[in-house]
Amino acid sequence: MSRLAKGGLVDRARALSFSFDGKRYSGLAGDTLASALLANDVKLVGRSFKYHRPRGIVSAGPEEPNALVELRAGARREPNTRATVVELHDGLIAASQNRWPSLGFDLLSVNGLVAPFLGAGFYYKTFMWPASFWEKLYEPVIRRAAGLGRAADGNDPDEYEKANAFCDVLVIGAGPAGLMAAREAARAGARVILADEDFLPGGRLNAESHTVGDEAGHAFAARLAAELASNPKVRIMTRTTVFGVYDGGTYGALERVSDHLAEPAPFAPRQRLWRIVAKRAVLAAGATERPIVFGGNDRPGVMAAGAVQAYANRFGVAAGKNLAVFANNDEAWRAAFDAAQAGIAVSAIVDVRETISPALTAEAERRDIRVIAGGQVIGTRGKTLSGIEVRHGGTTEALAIDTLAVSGGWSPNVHLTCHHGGKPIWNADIAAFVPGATPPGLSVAGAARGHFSLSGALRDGVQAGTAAASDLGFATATPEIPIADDAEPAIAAFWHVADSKGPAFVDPQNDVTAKDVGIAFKEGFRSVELLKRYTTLGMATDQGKTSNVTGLAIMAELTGAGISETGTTIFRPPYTPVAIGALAGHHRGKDFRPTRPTPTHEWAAEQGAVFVETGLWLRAQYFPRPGEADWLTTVNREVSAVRASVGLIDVSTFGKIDLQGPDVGAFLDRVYINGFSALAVGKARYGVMLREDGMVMDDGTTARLAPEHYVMTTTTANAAKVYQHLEFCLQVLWPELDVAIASVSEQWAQIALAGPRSRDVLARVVDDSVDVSNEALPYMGAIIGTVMGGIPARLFRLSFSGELGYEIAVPARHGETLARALMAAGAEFGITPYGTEALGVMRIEKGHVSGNELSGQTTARDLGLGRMASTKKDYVGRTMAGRPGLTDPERPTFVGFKPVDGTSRLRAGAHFLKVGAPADTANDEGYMTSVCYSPTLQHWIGLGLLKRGPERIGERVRAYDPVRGGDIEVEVCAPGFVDPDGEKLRG
Amino acid sequence: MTHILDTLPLTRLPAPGSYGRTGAPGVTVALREDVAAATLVARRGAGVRLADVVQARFGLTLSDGPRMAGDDALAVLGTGPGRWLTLAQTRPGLAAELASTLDGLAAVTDQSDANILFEINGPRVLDLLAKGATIDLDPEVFRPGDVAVTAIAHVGVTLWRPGEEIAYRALVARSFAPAFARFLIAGGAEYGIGWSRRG
Repeated sequence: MSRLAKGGLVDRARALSFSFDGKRYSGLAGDTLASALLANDVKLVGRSFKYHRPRGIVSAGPEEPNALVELRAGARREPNTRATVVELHDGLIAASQNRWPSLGFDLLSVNGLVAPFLGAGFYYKTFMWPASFWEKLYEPVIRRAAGLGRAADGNDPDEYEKANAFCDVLVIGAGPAGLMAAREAARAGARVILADEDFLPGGRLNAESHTVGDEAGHAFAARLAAELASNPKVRIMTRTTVFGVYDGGTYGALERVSDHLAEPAPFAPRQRLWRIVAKRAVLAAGATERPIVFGGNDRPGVMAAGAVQAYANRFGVAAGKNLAVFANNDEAWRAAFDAAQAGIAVSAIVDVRETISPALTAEAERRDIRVIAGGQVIGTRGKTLSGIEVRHGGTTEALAIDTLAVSGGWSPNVHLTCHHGGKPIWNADIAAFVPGATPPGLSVAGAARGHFSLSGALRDGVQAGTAAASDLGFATATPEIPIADDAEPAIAAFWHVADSKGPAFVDPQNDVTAKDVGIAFKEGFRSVELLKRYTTLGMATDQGKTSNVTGLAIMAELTGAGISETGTTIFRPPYTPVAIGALAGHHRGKDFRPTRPTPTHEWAAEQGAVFVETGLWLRAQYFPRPGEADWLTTVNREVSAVRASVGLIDVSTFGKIDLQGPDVGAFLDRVYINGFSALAVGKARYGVMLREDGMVMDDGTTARLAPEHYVMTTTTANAAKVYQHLEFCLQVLWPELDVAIASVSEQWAQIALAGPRSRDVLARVVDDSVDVSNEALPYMGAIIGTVMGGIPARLFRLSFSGELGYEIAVPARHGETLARALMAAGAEFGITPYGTEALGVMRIEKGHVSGNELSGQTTARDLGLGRMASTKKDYVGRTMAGRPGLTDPERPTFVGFKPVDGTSRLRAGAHFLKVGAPADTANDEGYMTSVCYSPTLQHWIGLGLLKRGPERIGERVRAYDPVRGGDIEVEVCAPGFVDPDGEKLRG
Repeated sequence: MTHILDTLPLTRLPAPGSYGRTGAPGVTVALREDVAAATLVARRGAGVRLADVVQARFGLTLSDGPRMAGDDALAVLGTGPGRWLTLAQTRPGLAAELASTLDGLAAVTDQSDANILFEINGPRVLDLLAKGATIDLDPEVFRPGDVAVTAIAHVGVTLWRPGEEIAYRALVARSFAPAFARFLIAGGAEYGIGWSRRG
């Protein structure tokens, strides 16, 4: 056990049991998985991506490149979780990944033996030829060997959700700068959200041993957090990572609501995706420690100095028994002193600098720690670290240690400042990139801005919080800045021990070495963006949080360009990985989008309907009866029943728009291609409207209910679009027109009654006062009346099927009652409910255009509706519809088709070719848009668009369908297959 | 555990009862279908006269912005420029009454069957609404009488706060009501939901 006897912000009274690779261990409440593993002396936690080298824990935070584990089991298994941020819970199950058969012995580690051949660009150079091998051999093999972790096999049993929050000031990070910023903004009266990815507020205050005033840093943090929590205008969001900055002060954040539990509490989500809208934001995200690159630097036991310090101070864990430090800066010395204070033996501090602050060397001397100034670590040994080789003063020396704490300095976490394109700026004095231009409303404080000392962070936080609040008009008092016991640490830039032994890893997650950076340089991939893509440096889950700056610094050394000129790759959201499930929230499966039932849904379900999704609507597709072998049998029965007697279908899904005012007629004249102002009261008319570009947008009927009152119907698919179009026309094009519109799609349930007996049925549901005779309600008539004993109704004599037909509209709550009443009234005629399939068959038989033809690529003329277009008025789309390309007589035009052999099945999507012409694009003459089996004609029929179609009636063409192997001859015919003269409609 | 969404009807409104966490509900939802509703659209150039008549006849101030006036007996909500929604709990002939009173001043369209009214109350009401509403509902920001025409969980919603109480009304198109109910119950399950129907 490496748990220290005392200290740390863990609860020693609460032991938690967990397992790693099947072995049981014990940790403490307040541990991360990483700290608990270290406390149990587990040093080897994973295998590397490419060479399968043994790897250990490097960091104590989200930047971890190595300790990626599979968490939980079964359907909850989650790959690539960072052990350093996984909060330990009782019963936690974790497993190492990217190893076979075991972590200790991994067969693919042979990759390491051929490592000299697997360097940067290996895939690009090696798997070039023969080209045919790529798909069948190379790619599958590479894919099997690559990748980290395994996705769960089952559906995720947990829920995710989304939420919105609003505040005056969002503070990102609850370290010293963030806590101060939040406190000042809150004291000024602002609404504050303080978000931190950790489960414990305090940031590095919990990891270091500084005092603030006369208080321990962690106690100071806890007191501030408590003050903030007691303020009702402050929301503290722990376990919440702000991962992206979007437009208008919008921030994306992921709250891990239940990740610290074995499974979520009943009804609680696992994670919650927050959209936070903030007037101002303070980025206090701290900094990430960088490694120094040297041979063998990936051996388990080589860690970040700040991590060693965090494990000792926060978790009460000794990362090792015998420690050395290798660094280029003062901070790492504090880590060494803290480790020594915690009781870890510190053999040496190896600092690349010759000159070091006397205060530090005196402290080292006091603690009896050997100082090797101007020294470099040039090699390591052991499967897990057992010793290092140090070069100093012209000699080399071996040190037997089990832990090497490395620090190449700290990189401010500038990521979020880049999300609007800001480019970080190199500051040579602190050897770090600091934020450049920030997104509007976002300021940066503390270590994220390059102010690495605690005093600097506290001061910065106070100023940022005060500035944000006063910027928003809150009165701020003279702030009180707490005093901490430190000064800005000194650093000498140092990146890479050039002549060291063994592979020197820049990016351990992607197994990118200093040599790979050299290869990229030699082969010309010198820009940082090319370096990243060519070597994979800085890719994958950690996105190079520890490796980017070191990698580009090594490149800068090679090019001699300098770091400032070399620049850094751009950071994009998300800062850390976000599960797709969180982005979806509850909107998955049937809840991906809303489901809209029709007013008669329950009745249709009782009738045994099979439903189909049409947009958001769920409509009855057909109503199978016992003994019917397939849907076609059912649909044939429904069609025949309608044509022989009577049937009904719910058509409530059509868009319905109420139009009122003295100018409605003039308005309709401008939106439809045909005239409406002369439409008589009590009449309906079919109309076609175009888009501004001249293509058909929608069709439908509009009825005039009163001199200044019309009601329009649109297709189901275009209901919202047409309403939007009318609104645009009224607000923007013709604001002078006195027309008021309102959607009444949801107000009215509408049922279509069709078939020769439909009048008989209708007559039985209307009230006595309503006359539905052919004289009182002729074809295309529209009247207002009551049905079923006083229920208001609108009756339209319309037909889509070609039969005598009516549409009856009643207030939506009565829709189901109406369906039942019609069924009862029609029982003696064998009234048959029919679905969208039969509706489709009948409209094809009748030759009406529908969604398949209104494709957005067809003109009125293409659809055979050109003669409807008035030449006496202007209307939307008229000018553009006159373009030569749209009036070309060669354009495919609407006609009907039937199989020449009388039996073949037609296929929608088949393309038309002249008989005998080769099947290529040059000979393409159009395509079949809609087909069905016609029970009335007893063979397949189709509608389609054929070049000069109407001129070719009687001609035979080839219908070629390479997708389904269809190739038959069809005869061109007029599109109306049933009752072409419309006698049934008027009867 | 079966997720609560898998237990709810997709095409019907949920039955009255308790959903989610047991104990005192964090959110209560009452559905009303007995509220008469009509849209009111000012005719061109008639806005001022319309406001005068509405004030004189009904004692209500037509607001130009997203605000409500009135009470459960008769309320008018601003839903767009020159556009209002009137709601009345005890006036079945609302649309006809308005149409005759406001003839020539406004187009009146009956919407009594177009929407379902959800009354949403309870100590966790804001936590629940935050899961869907992308507007700031902080009681200091979204004040008594404020109205929003917005979208929640892909469902168009007219949302308002009738009074001082932290309680809200949401008007949702009839065919979207089951989807909206699913949002309320999925998001509110962790607080416990009391569900009832009136009218």
